Amino acid sequence: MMNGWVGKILRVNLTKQKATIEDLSPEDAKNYVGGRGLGLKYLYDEIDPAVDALSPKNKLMLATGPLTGTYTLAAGRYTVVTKSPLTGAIANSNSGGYFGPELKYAGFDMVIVEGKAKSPVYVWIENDNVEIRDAAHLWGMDTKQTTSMLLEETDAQAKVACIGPAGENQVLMANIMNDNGRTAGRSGVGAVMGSKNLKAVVARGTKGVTVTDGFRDAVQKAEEGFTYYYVKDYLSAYGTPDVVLFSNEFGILPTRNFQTGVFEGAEKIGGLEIAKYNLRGVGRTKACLGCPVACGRVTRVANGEFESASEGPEYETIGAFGSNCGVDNPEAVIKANMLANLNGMDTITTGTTIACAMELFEKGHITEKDAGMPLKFGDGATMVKLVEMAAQKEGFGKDIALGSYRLAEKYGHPEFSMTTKKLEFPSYDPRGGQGYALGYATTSRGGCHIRAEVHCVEMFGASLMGIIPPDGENLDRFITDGKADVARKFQDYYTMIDSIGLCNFICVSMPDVNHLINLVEAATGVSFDGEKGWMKTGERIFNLERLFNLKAGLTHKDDTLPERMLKEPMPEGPTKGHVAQLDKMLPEYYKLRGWDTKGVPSAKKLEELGLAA
Amino acid sequence: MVSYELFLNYEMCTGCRLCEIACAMAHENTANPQLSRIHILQLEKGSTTTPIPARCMQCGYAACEAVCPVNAISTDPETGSRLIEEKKCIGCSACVGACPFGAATLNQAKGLAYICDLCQGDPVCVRFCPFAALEYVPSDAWTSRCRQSKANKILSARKFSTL
Repeated sequence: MMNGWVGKILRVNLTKQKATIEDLSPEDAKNYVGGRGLGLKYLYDEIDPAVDALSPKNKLMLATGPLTGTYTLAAGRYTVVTKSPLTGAIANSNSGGYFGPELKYAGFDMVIVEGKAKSPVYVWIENDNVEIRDAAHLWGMDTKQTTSMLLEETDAQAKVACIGPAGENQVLMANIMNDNGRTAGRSGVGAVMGSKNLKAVVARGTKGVTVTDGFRDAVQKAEEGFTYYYVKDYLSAYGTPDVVLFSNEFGILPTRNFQTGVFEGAEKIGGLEIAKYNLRGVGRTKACLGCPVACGRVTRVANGEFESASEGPEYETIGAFGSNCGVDNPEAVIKANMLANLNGMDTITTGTTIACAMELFEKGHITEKDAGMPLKFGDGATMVKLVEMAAQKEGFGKDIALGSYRLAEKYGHPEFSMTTKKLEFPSYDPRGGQGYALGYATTSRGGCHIRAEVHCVEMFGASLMGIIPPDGENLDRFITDGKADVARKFQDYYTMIDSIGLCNFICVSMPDVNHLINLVEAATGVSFDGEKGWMKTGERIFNLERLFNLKAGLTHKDDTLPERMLKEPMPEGPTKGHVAQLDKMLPEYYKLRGWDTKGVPSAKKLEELGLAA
Repeated sequence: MVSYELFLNYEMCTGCRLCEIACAMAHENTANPQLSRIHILQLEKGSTTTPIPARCMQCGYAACEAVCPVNAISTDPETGSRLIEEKKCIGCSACVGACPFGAATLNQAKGLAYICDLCQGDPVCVRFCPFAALEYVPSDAWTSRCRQSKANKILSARKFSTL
């Protein structure tokens, strides 16, 4: 009998049409925790990382954490772990809502999907009863229709995770949507699901998650510690769109494919403007399980060319579809967001790929003949059209569906793809902060900020769990000294956040990391050996991801940034004149990590982490 | 004696389910929304999924109490809530069938019915709701608040000529 964890893993083999239940070993639970870590451990052990991500040999893990479904704050997360068809590297996409907790209530810490079904199917999990059902009637439907139909066929209060037409068509940036508005967004995890002919996983659980008696006190302490004003006040009021003007003020808001960091139309697509489209009345703000912030909201454009309604858009979406495409019309951004949700596509990759295509067009490398239409920055209508076309791989949409790297490569100029490891950057230009630039270059899944939010200390003034010097001391974003250490500590720390089942926003709002460790230890009754042991567990998972990537064929040459970031100084604004000085930080980063100059973990380091072959 | 009632502010509910988990933890010591006395239903409507809390209406003349064949259900004189005497309950589900709000449920594992008991006057769901969607306040305070709010709305809608 476990606490926190429920102790069972569901294995669904779509080729054999069989579902089996196995035990979660206490050893794996302690060493890999859950979510990102546990999914990775099983994936590493069970597949050859060099395998084609869209082949039946890849596996898809839906992994919850030990805290998922308990009554602490924001305990609603689960992680999709697989090999990415977009990057060829490890994929770990977190999502909130209610689907993850429902898996726990059904009695599973993780679901493993392997093989490939002969024809479209969905998996229906009702406690121990697991069925693989025909999904031919759902294939082709958008994620909202799919969810409605599935709730009718299974249980009105079931929770659904599904793909849309983009996943079915194996579009490389396809995502997995859950609860009609939450998503495991990045790395094309939806395409993997589509390649397995799996339309959805539906869960309904009536069992519970037990915790030890000490949990009550741990929750109380954690709640008392939850004070970080930004999360409580701003996110509650406006959600993440509030960040647009903030980034613009730092001169790092991606504009016209990261050509600059200041967008003249920023005010038109900032938090206050987007908020004008928020739905009012009952159900106006949405919270994931157990969350006191409720950053989710539904926006609606009532009429006109961009009539639409959907959950979002988030900050990243506004950056990618808005400023990065030179689009200052919030209605176009809202509609693009809706189409991405309904079709099941990552807004960051989709938007930034369109932006890349727009720059290639601007520079004459893509012609109107190639694209079938002009691709001008600022053209919201074309931007919106391309989202739908990409989902269907129709016309030029077929190129968009490749992601910006393969698209830019196809037209002879991969240097215009703003990616690391073929994963498009989020909406913070890396020339704006040396620490997070290093983070983008070295994060295991590619160009990503949320696997190590160094930008939060470099710009937001966050102290982040006391790991970094206390509140008020912004690390100067333009210096490189000491950043290697910050980046690697954050990466290990965030690995743990991604493995326990809590929302990042809440975790980073606690002033002391020990509140978090306390929560997990109190829930599970397992000791993680203090802060040192906690960070070591994170380091173990991060290093195993590194081993996975190396076996998948990535090298230290992939720990880099586009030429633009390294050589073209930011042309204007508060970040003017700066480039990312990766060469000043990377060697020290490898050294601190115990990796050799080719970025390979040393035998000594692997042994220390219990990863020796 | 001031009578308190549980009030729901539907507009404030975000569907976070903390009330469900807290209730289940308090009564059954497990994080299991199924065993909660309050339920958050997610309903599809238009462009979004809307959370609607469903709970015991604390009837003045309760159908559950009336139909119980063994008189296991009574009314708490302090809070007005239902109380189930577990020793008497035979798990017949008559109360489950009688309640028009779906607020009486059978605990399959125990074979006993469970209904909201307002936690002896300090409802846990109210304590845990981060959005003040649940309140436990004196009935007339709620009523006068609603009247005042409506009156203010009428006033602000009305146009006055300059004074």
